[in-house]
Amino acid sequence: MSKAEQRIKEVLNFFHNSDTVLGYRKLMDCAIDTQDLDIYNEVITLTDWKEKFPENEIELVEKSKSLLEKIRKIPIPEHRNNHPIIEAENVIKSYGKNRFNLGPISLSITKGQVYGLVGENGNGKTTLLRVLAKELACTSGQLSFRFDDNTYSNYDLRTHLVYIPQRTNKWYGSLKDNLKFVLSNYGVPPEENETRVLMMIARLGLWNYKHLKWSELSSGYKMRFELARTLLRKPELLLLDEPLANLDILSQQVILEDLKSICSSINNPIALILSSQQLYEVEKVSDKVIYLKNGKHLQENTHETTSNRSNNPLIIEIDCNCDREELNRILKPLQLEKLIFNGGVFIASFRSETPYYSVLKTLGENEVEVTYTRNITNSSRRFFVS
Amino acid sequence: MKKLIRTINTRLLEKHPIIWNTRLLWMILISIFIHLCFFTVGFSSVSNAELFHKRGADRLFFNNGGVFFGILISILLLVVWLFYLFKNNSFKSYYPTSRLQLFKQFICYLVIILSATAFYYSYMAGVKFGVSQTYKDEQIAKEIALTNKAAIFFSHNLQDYTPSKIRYPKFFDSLYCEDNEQFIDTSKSYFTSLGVDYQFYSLKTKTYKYSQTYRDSIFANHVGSTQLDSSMVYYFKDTVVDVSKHLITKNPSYYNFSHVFFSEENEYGINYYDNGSYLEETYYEDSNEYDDFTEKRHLLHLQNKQGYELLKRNNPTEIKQILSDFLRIADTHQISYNLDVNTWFDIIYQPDKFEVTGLIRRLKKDSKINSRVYETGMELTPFQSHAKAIQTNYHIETNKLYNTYENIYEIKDKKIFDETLHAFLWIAFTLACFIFAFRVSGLKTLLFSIIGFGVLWIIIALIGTLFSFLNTNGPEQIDLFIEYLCLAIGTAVLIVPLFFLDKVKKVVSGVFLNISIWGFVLYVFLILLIIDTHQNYNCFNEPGVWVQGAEECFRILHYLEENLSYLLFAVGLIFIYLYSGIIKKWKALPEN
Repeated sequence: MSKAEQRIKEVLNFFHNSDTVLGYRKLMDCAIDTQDLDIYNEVITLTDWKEKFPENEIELVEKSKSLLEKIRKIPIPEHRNNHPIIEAENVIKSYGKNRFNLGPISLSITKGQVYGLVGENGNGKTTLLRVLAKELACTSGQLSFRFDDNTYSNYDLRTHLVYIPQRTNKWYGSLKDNLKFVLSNYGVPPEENETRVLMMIARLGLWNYKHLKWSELSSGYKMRFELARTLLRKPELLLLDEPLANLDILSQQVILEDLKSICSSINNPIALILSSQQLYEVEKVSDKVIYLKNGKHLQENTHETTSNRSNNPLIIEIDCNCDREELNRILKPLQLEKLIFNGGVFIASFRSETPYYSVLKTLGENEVEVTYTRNITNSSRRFFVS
Repeated sequence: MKKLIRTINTRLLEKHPIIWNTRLLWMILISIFIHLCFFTVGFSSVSNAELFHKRGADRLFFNNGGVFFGILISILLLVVWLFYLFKNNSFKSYYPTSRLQLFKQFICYLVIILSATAFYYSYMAGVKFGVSQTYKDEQIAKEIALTNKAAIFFSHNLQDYTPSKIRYPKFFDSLYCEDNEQFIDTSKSYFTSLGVDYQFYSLKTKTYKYSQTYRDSIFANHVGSTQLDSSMVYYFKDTVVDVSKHLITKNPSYYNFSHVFFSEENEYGINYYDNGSYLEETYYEDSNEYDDFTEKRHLLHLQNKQGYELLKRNNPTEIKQILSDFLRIADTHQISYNLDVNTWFDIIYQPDKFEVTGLIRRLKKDSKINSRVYETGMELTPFQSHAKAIQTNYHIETNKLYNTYENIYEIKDKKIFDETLHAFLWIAFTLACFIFAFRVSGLKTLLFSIIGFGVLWIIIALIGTLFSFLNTNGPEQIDLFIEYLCLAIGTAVLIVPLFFLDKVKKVVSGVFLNISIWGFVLYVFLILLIIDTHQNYNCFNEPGVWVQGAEECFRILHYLEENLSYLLFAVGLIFIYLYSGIIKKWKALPEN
């Protein structure tokens, strides 16, 4: 089964399980990968209908399924190049003697991968992103790019990588015109311009906001429009600085899921590096999390298991109705090594042999009312709390 | 309408993003509309004949406040345009662009600024079209012929009627009349009238070839000259001639009148009207009046002949008809006068000698200029006393008619795109360069560049001043020093973006980049200026050359003349095109 077929199957499952909203977003990803303007137009028409009749979910599912059948018939060539799109080797950025220094940092990322960049404020996240985006020159080290399209100059190179800073510039004029301006500058034929723009507007959930002015948009939707503009440029490398700032928790999850989904496109995958303070959310979608502390790089794999990881102590966050002494007493038999209260929650460290479920079981047996707990053994969150 | 605008905008946005972004189409359309308004205003202003009474109607746009109105509209248009232009900047967002596309943007700025500023041309085109429609060539030629015919009876200036002005019969045409008592040879034949001595001379000539070495004695005491291609002919008084038998009267007479009121071919040279102050005029004929001696004398001869024959015919009906025709022309051009045909006829009709017995004012009696003349309190000569005695209170404002004719011909002959085109081109180019620099480099770099540009000039001025204090080798050394100093600094500024773009901080190279954009044309001009300065000094060092004037030597700036401006403009455009590649390179640089 090809990737495309597999994905269509997933989408059908979403519809089958009444996850219509998520299913529809995934349907649009399938549609985008076809690069077929007729399909695009059908999605646009369907989106327009969906927004006019939001309560008519059953009909929407039927129409979506019928559209999926059409999409299924269109062959989608898979992107084959798995070479790193950017390779940084011992990159150092120094702002001068006795001032902040970033690095040395080495990393490489291939298209379709998502890297999260985490760290406390002032530890070099933005600097690293700007160095990778060639906005800042590195003091030493090697930075090499390998895009699918040939780049003949540094300016060409910068048309292929897009860096979105935390504070984006204001847009002037019609939002749609701004998006169309991108495509016309990228040489998209005039007859495709409108369709592609509307497709992107539909994909990023901006259908009902496309006629508004920039000043009428909330921060979240401004970020979405910025993303729409960026994605229309078909970048091969996307660098986002704090895209989740100012977003509510639901929007954070949605936007990260969208980014993950769009970046793992079958024929136009994008390498994405994003910085954020939302560790849990970022870790969920990232293939790799880069933790920066005082400009230094601590690399943690979230989805890969390493032999060393099993030797790590178990670290748990707990929020409950007990005081420290009582909790200490309850957890002591589980080889508790350290219990810290950081003002909000307890951070309990156990020896590596202690399983997480045994902690949950003990807490339950002692009738402790737990309001929040999380195993952060393998999360970069432990760097923040330790 | 709104829908049409939206459709066109969408089409432009999808197909021609540069035109959409620069609002080229809309700016041109708006400018065309305003140009049409200026054309209409210019056209309708012709209907007011009084506008032509003052000299310089071809500069009407600058004299009647049109220029301020034009500037105001231009500023408004450009501010609104910039507001829309700054909404999007593809270059700033690193959208793909080529050297040609950047150059196209610059051309759009240039075209927009030109079209939004050059309202002067539409206004003048309107005036020119209005004049060509209102004053047909044949009609004006007829009016001028009639006016010249009637000019004999204007009786404004007694001096126009003295024997020194006589050019007809043929006998007088080859003579020169000396009326400056300092130069009268009293041992030979002369006569006196109203206290003025008159002595007639035959003329001789001397030819000076330009290749000859200059000597003062060549043209000492000449009374006129004619310039030829390779030589100059100077006229000198020869022998005294007794004219007593040929003169009808020794007193001022209409028979002597040879003044050509207006000639299309030679508006300024034949006569000179000193408005109102005729009573104070000196009687010594300025030798400059005899520049291009032969041609001028011939015209005066023809004019004198026409009047002479008219008076000889002594036909009151014919004379009255001429006066009547003239007053009709005066009415057409709203020329003020306070006499009728009969009154005028009574003043001038003095057969058989037709001596001047009454003077008609050229301005109204209460004119400030007239009163100034009378209030001078100078002791009057007998001639002036006589002129004052016969002065009437009648006036015909013929000066205004003269100005009208002059204005009509000047406007008809005027090229719409005259030398002012250079000013408009360079204003547009400079503004376009500034906007271009802002668009490609951003506000911060632009501000630093402006400061840097100013600092460079201050440095040059300070070093130049210091050198001029220390220099003891003459002013030409200072010129060359400053020119070479500018050249050295200019070369350094140009070299940085070309060869050391990534060796210095981005903001520093940006400053050099912007100064290069603004200063390259000046740099080329500076090179030409240095060549010209050297040519000039070499020219003066050649013996005997300076007599003809330095223009005779080959000097590149003189050789290029106004083409220099067009040449530099073309160089500027080519530079922007070629330099766009460097601009792209600079833009892609990371910050240090």
